[in-house]
Amino acid sequence: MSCNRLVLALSVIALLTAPAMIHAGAAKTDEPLFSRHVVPLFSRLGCNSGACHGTVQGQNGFRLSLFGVDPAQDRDNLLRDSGGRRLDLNNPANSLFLLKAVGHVAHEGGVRVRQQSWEYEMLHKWVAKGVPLDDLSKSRVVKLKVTPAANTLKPGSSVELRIDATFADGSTEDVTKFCTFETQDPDVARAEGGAKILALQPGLSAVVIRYGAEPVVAMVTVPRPDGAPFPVVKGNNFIDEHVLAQLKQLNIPPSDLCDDAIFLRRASLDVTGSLPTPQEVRAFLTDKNPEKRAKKIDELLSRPGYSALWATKFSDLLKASSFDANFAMSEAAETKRFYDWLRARLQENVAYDEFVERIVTATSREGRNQEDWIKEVQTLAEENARNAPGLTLYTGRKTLDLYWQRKEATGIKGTLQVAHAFLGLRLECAQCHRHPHDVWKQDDLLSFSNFFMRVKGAGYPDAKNLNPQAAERLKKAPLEAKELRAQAKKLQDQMKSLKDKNEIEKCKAESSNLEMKARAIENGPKRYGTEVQHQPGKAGFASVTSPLGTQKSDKLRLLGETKDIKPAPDQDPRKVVMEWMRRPENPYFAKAIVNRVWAHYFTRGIVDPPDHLSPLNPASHRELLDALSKGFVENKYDLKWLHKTILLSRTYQTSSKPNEGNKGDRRNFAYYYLRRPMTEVLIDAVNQVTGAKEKFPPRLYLPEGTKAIEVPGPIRIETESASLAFAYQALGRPARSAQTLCDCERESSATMVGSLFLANHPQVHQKIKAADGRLAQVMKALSKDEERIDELYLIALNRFPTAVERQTVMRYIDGSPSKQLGMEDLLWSLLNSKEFLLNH
Amino acid sequence: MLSIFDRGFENTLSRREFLRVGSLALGGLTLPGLLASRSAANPTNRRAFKDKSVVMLFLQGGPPQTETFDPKMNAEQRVRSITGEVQTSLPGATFGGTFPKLARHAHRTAVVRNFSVGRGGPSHERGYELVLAGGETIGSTMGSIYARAAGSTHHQTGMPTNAIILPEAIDPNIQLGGPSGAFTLQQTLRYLASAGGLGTPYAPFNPSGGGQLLSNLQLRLSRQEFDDRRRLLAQLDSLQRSLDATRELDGADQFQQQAYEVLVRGVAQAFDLRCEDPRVIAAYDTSAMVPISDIRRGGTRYRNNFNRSTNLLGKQMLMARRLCEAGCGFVTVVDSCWDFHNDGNNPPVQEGFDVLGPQADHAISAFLEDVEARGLSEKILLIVTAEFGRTRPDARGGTGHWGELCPLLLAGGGLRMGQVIGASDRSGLRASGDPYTPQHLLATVMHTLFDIGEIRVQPDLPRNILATITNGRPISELV
Repeated sequence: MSCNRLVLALSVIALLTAPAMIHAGAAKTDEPLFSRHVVPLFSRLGCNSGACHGTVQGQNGFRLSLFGVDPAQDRDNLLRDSGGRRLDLNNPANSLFLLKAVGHVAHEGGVRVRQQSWEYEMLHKWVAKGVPLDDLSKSRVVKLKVTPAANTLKPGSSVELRIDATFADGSTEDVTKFCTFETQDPDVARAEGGAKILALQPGLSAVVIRYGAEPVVAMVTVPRPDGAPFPVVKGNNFIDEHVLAQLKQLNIPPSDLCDDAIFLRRASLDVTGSLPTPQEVRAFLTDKNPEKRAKKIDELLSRPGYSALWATKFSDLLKASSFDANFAMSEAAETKRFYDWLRARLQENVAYDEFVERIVTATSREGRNQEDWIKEVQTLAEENARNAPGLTLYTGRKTLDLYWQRKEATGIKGTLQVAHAFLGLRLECAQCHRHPHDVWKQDDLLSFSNFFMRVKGAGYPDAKNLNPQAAERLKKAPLEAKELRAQAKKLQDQMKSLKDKNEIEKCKAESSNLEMKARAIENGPKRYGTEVQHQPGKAGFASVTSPLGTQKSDKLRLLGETKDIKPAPDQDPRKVVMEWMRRPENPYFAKAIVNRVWAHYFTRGIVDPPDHLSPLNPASHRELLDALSKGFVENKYDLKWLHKTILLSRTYQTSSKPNEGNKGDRRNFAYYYLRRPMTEVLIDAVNQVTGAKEKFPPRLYLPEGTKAIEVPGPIRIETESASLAFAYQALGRPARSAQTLCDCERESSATMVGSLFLANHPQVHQKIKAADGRLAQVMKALSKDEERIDELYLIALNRFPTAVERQTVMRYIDGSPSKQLGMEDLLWSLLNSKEFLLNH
Repeated sequence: MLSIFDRGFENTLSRREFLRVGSLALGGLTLPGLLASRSAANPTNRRAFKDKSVVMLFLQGGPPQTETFDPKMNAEQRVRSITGEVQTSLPGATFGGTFPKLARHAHRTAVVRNFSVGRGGPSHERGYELVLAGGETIGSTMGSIYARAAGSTHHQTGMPTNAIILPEAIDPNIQLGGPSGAFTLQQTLRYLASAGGLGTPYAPFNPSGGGQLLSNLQLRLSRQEFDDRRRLLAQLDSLQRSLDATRELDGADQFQQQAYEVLVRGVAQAFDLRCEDPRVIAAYDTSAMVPISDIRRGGTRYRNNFNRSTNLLGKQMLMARRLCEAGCGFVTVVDSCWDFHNDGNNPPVQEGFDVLGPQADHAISAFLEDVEARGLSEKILLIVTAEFGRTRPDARGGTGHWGELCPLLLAGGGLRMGQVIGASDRSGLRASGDPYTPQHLLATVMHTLFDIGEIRVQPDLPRNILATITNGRPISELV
């Protein structure tokens, strides 16, 4: 980074001395104003970046505010740091900061400006004038304009951008030479030092321009030069209109439609997380109905796999882990309840805004009196104590209070999570300072956090908040549990002297029953402290302490809004947030989920990374995202409408084979981008192909044969389901850490360990040759090798083999020591082939 | 996928025919890994690699500089080492009181007492970046930079060239650390096993999937059968070549290729301590020194942050030596919880050294003795360091993070040993004179691993990587 900056800074200098740049001198550098000229110049030169003096501790005793957000402080630091050595008002050229900048005194950051440059002149002049501070209220930037904002360029040609700033005092100035320029896709276009943008290859790229801390964005379109006329391609719905229009503009022809077999495999994996069965493939391929793809999409969306897959994805997103806040809860049980609750709602296809409402505004009591809620809690505790399948009660709850019972679910940390999960925003950096890659200021985050300061999460039970009976139970529970354990112990002692098998069994059952009761009695009252509730009148305000000092806000303000809100003391402010989020004009709420769903189907979001909605991270297809979000809201936040609309599009059904004209494309969806399926899906596919079933220890509450996509929480490696746990580890599964607020936590890139696992893990070998496995069944049911080969191809790759493939495999089998061994080799090869390992 | 199939391996060959061609290929051509073939496999460029290894013992948490290798017993009371000092085999030099064994090997080591990693008291995460990535370079750990230049597996053995050994690599069943705290497994892997922008192929190989991974590394089929299978796979994949016309999947292919090489070359043995002479294991073993129950008690008392300490360091060091012998060029060994705040989450200095000190002393000494006995001293450079040092202890024996001095000891690697380099000032908090920095350490490592003159002419190495490898100045007393 610092390297690039240096190169950038140096080349800017080189350019600025060239005659071509003279027009930029139009700005009034003869009367330099500190906040309009000096500070933005610091920004452009990289002086106030995080790597240099903008870091919290400053650099070598000199500190500047990050990106120059606080000019008054910066001037102060220049004047006062190091006993004022940095400035020499009598002999400006002798000012240490100038000597360092030109490299006359050793400067870790290297030479930033040359002495014969307008930059130097300007800084010199500012010192000579006595380092004046201009009126900051007048110099606030109210508008930043870039011209031309939209540019169509040929590869190899370039454009000079011009940036005009309008200030609060009404004046406007060309500030081009104070700006930095960065292209979003450096393969498509590059900032050639300063405002000159060079087009490199066909595609679309935003240019992010910064004047001081203020950003503005320009677009560069580089169409593919001439070539054949753009093909006539018929779209299926409005998605295609947008995607095709852009491709046409870029003169990048889309790939053909994928064939039926690939469509079936792709959609099955994407929607349900499972491969289609051979019967299903056969039926689909022979179905003559022209609407068969649409029919299949409906069918897939109604299968249980759909809700399982999205319950997994939402468990990732909502960080379903860390239920150990007060030792009352069990990770295995609570993650399962969390998952099951999500899955039930997805199955019911609850409108997305209501789905979110039932999470964001969840309370434990849901309006019931305390004793009724305590009854629920007792049942939950008994379920846990039984250590066996059957966590059935929770799914029926209206709201997901478990979301707020996680560790660090409330306060500022909780706010960051809400913003990330439901608004697609990354606000972490704003904890300490203005966000360097976004528009958010510290006060925005704190004022938004104040909506979440009155919610109480899980803690230890406190007798004074409980009704008398509950308080009594809380007090007595440990004693009763102790008593029950003593009885159990007694029974176990008696057991030693028993001879009769039946009596021993009876004794054993009785004692474990007592122990279970003890656990339930103990655990129930512990959960009394987990009540999630709004605490009326509690006036906690968010504050953060960082090396930059303590910041506090006592206002409640929604993100991007200017008005403060004052909810009544008895009103739960989370409800205000919810009402704001579900307003149709909310700029983030619908877009965040639409974009994430899109990213699930297309590898990348329309905004990418998908969890970074920001004016500084422009969408590849802004109008498409707007239209899809609008449609989603108009269709009452119907998730299935969203999935179906995407799946029906020609864009989704495009072949993964690029053509000559589009093979360089990475963001216009000209062909279907290959990707590895989610880890859980891949593991399930291996099991499906080999006919294997996973087993689980009872304490995970999971019946045998549960699919990987249905496993809600973590599995430890030492358990009976070691192979699954290892597969998760080898192939990668997110830890759902509340610290890592990034969709990228779910990584699906290949690793050597992952390849090793599929090629050589003893369990994989075992699954292939198991006596009750899929291969054994095929060998038994079919007698001809050709039929067996066809069947294995249908099972694993969901298509028939080609003639050459069939012939190759036949020869291989003929040369094998036995048919069985040859077929095992074939199945292994299919499982390790690219075609199997990828969704294509 | 395999280069041999790209050159006209006809898909109509019978099994017998393709076995014949195949065995010829395997015997004569040694199927180079794609990564390796891109950079290091070309024999003319092998000269850039000095056939040396670096083992970095990373004392995660940041032990104090004074109680390790700079006791300052002549300074004022509050500066002196709490654990006292021991005389070393180097005249005039002493180590902290818990290092009597290592002291006897001091003439085989070089201690740097003016190693400064950053200003003030950085966070652990920042410290990791500073020290392991050589300060402000390209943000990738030294091991990853090495792997990027050398190829991610050894050109002959298939051994990963960059590896990290956590306690979990020794005892697969051990459960260390909780879901939160300063030293969770997740954080450790994220920062200490990071390849920065270089990408996951160059991240250190982490063998701590325990028994599972190790058994996974051992080929489960006969070699013959496995070769048959991968030939069939290569054929079937090549029939579907259009699947990856954009070559987006090169990375994934490389991993598959790497995995197969690891399997057929028996690399797994390097990770299996059972293959080692029991006497050598006994010489390294530190598990009897501190009962694990004591450590766990400590872990309970300081529940958040002391729970990744173990008594397995000896065996971790042994595994490091075995990996070096098998062709690994950069091994990071992590010993955790040297973070002595005495704040309820972490122990005070004395108590921390009581548990961790003797073990480190023994493990480092055993490593030096073993490496010496095997004649590998010149081939293996041992570096003992951390993310930073500490502030002076407060009244209760707690200390804070302190980047301006950090413990650093080196041994072997063909560098000049038997010296104390630099000094701290009277405060014990800063270097006296100009300090050495992580950039110097990185340059020292690179000069040990590479012939700098030769690496400059290495093709296909990105400029910024090359600059990072070649631009720095090593610690001058060492070279």
